[in-house]
Amino acid sequence: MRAVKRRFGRGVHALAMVQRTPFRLRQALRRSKRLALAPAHGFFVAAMPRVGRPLDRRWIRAACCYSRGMRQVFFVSVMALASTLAACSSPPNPGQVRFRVHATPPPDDALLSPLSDPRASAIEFRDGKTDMVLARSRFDAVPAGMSPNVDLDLGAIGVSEPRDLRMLAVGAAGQQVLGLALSRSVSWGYGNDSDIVLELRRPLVFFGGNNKLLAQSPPSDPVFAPNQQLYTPLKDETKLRVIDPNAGSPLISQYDMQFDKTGGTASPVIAAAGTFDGQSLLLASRAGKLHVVDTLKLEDRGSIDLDAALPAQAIVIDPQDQAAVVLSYLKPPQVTGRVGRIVLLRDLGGLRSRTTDGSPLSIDVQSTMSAPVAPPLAAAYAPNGRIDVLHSPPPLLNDQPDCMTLSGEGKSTLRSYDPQTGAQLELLSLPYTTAVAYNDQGERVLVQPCVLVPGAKRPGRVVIGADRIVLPAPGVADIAVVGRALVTVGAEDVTDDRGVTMRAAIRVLEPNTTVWRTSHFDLPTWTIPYRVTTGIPHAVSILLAPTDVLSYSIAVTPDRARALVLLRVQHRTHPSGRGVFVFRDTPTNDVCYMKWSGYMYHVVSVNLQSGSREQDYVVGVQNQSCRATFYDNLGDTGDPCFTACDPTDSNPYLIGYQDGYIPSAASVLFGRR
Amino acid sequence: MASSNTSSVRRVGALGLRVAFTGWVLALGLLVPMQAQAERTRAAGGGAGGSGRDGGRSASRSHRDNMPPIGSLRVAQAGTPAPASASGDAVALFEYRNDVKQLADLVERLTLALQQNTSLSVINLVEARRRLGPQVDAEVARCDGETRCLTGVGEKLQAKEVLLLAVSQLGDVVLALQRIDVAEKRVIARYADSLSNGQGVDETRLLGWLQQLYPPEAFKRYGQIRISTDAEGSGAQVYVNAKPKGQTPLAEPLSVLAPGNYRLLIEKPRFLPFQAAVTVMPDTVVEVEARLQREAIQTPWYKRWYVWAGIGAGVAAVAATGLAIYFATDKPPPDMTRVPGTVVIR
Repeated sequence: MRAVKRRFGRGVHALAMVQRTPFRLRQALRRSKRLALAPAHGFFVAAMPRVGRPLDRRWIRAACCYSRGMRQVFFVSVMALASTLAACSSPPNPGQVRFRVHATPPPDDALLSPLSDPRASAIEFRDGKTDMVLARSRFDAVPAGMSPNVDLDLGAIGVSEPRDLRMLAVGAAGQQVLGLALSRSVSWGYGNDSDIVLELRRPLVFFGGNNKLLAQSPPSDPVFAPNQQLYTPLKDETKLRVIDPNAGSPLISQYDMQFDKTGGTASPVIAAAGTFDGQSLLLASRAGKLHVVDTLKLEDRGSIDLDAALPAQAIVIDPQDQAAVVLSYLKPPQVTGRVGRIVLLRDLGGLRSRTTDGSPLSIDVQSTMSAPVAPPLAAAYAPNGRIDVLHSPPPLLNDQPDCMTLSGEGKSTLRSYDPQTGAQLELLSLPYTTAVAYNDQGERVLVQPCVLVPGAKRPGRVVIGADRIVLPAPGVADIAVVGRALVTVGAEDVTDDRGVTMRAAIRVLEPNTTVWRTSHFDLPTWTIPYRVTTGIPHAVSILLAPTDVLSYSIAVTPDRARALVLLRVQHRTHPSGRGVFVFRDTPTNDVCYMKWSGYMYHVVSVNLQSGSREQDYVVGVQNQSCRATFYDNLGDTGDPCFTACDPTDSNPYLIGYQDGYIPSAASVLFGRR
Repeated sequence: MASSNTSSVRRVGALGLRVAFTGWVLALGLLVPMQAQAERTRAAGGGAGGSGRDGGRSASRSHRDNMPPIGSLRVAQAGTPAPASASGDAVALFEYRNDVKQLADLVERLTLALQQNTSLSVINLVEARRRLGPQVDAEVARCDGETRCLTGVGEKLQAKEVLLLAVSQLGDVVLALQRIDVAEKRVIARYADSLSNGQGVDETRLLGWLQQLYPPEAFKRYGQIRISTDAEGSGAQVYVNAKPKGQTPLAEPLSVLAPGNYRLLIEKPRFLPFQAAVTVMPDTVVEVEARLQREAIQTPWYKRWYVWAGIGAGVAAVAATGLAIYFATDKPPPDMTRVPGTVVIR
């Protein structure tokens, strides 16, 4: 039997054993079944009838052949199946990442949703810090009024550790950013299903108003009011204006907002800042409230109270959208006492979600004669986690900044505060400085309007780092840092001389450069109509050219395509001259000259790529001084010759004339540094 | 494969036996009436007529039940003598009777005994008349038993020997048998016997006379095996009982002792060997049609193309399986650095 087993295999051996007893057959059956010897097992089953009968060699051979053959078949089948399974084995599930884009739904999508912009042609996903493109897909705009239902395949994209993810909706061959979204600390990995929500918004810019500028003596005839250039649609100083810088008609007046109405009159928005994720807009009204606006539909989500006695003048948001600071002071500021207040909002997320009040921490700024402290003018969140607050006299005052008195050191201080505790950690004395910011390399950027850069004709400079780069920047009181680029708008660097007509200058410092890229645009003249009553009565207009420019607020879109600039343009006659010729008195042959000084306030939209001005809205005029006297061959007689500028006249309406408002609260969604 | 060939050979052998037996029975069945017909013909004065020798040969096909087509086997009808292959084998049998009426059929009985027990070809008077005409009787009678004269007749008949039966009576019947060599013209053997008056001679005694006259070799009987092949079979080596007998086509049929069983093997390179077992009866011709088929069975396994084709296919299959497993398992690992991304805008 051992020979049989050796020769014919275990199956046949067992089969040969069956002739002995049925018990052995059952044993063989169980064993073959357990060992999965299916062919032998089947043969044992067939062998059942032959229990007890001797086997002959023919049957053993047949069993052998069958068993061997079946083993071979079984083996080949297993091999084939194994190879087939191996070949057909499916790779592990790689998982996927879904980017769920949320934008303004209908009916507001036509003006607020980037997805409805017909110019949208593609969407991009970029790293929020490095700006590296992670994925890109072509995209066709969703018709306005239709709920989007789009799935776009991005293909395979690299797995990601936690990072800030920025989504862009671009148009015009990728040059125009029509929409953005920012999600923080998102990640996706292999084998996981990840859902990432992206709140897509248009990069809207905003500006607010201020108290209305009221003339001391309005002209008896409004036709002679020098306010013809005020842009009528923007006359209401209480509205927060919404501008789409990428639209052909940038003013989205349908979404202008008013806040804190009392007695039917809303309170002007005097400070505003957009979060870096674009989902919220913080704004402060003159009524002393801080509002949170949801940018999905531009809806007010609520407010907290600030000190109404100290109106907020600036709001600065942490680039991580975790905190914010509100700077409050009076205009004109006090000299002593509480000159200002710093409110640290330590839980901006809670404030936005309306779960908390933002955990505010107020820091009063006290000033004394012996230790004068300027009001908190500007602030910036430093890379080291502190908040730098710049204490400086506000530049936007009449005849300010007066660089005769503000030149020199120590005219401003930079204080570093702990954003959680409010503890002052550092103090730095500076020349007169009106703005502080940090670029993405962690360098501090200071704007100092009264420091003359060697070689420049007009004072004003921008300092980057510890004097690593010093650039002339006359007429600049604020700066925008976008990435590693700096954007300013100021005055053309020309001598202050009679006959010089000032132009505005757009200055952009590109990354890895040390000189401005400068372009200019003209500023309108100031038209002053008046009536001549002597001689033959007639009406004339005095045109006063711009003589100086000061940009005191700037907001730049995240793609650095456009900027909203608040400008104060000065129009004055040169102090060294007699002024503007008005008329000649025929009997006496005396000549009437008028000296004039006044401001016009502009809201300007500039194209930073072309260096051109696109929109220019005059929203306020403010006459500073007006004096008109006769001149004979001996000089100024001192006799007033222009009743509108004669303080002894019953209606000297040009003295102290003002109208409109001083715009403020220039801000942009997706923040600025 | 060897077992199947062995079984095939067995079947052929068995069939051959059956066929041989059938043929022998048929031959016997036909021989008697043909003999009778010959008797009648002789009694009628001769005449042309077919004898069993020239009688139509009927062949019986071998049965081929369960046999591969290896050729055909035909057995010549028993009793159909083989044609004389040479003049020396022929014996002319004459009778010289000296007015003795007894044992009148002795010469016919001698003829029959010679035909049945020896390989000699007997020319009796009937055959002699057919060859030489009716005057042969007179010539034989004129010889008066004289040796030289009889050898002359024998020469005319192209016989090798003359067997003279002289019958005389001196009270007893005296029989004298002489073997006369035609070429040497002399008597080479004599035998005489006497019979009492009225005493008969049985076949045994008659055979004994012949055994006294002829050497034992004369009593060996032969049959023939005629092997025919087609064009493809030419050049095949023929073996009879493992002894080579030449190559096809054989010039002459093979003469073999009969009765006897013989194993034929006809083989040719790259052809399947032809085997047959035949039984040859005396004076019969067994016709064997050997159609060789090209080798398909007995080529050594290592010379068979399909074996190597199968081995190659098996190796290829194994290799293909191995490659499939290799490539299947050697797939580059999935790129775990990338995942599918989708933008869902709702």
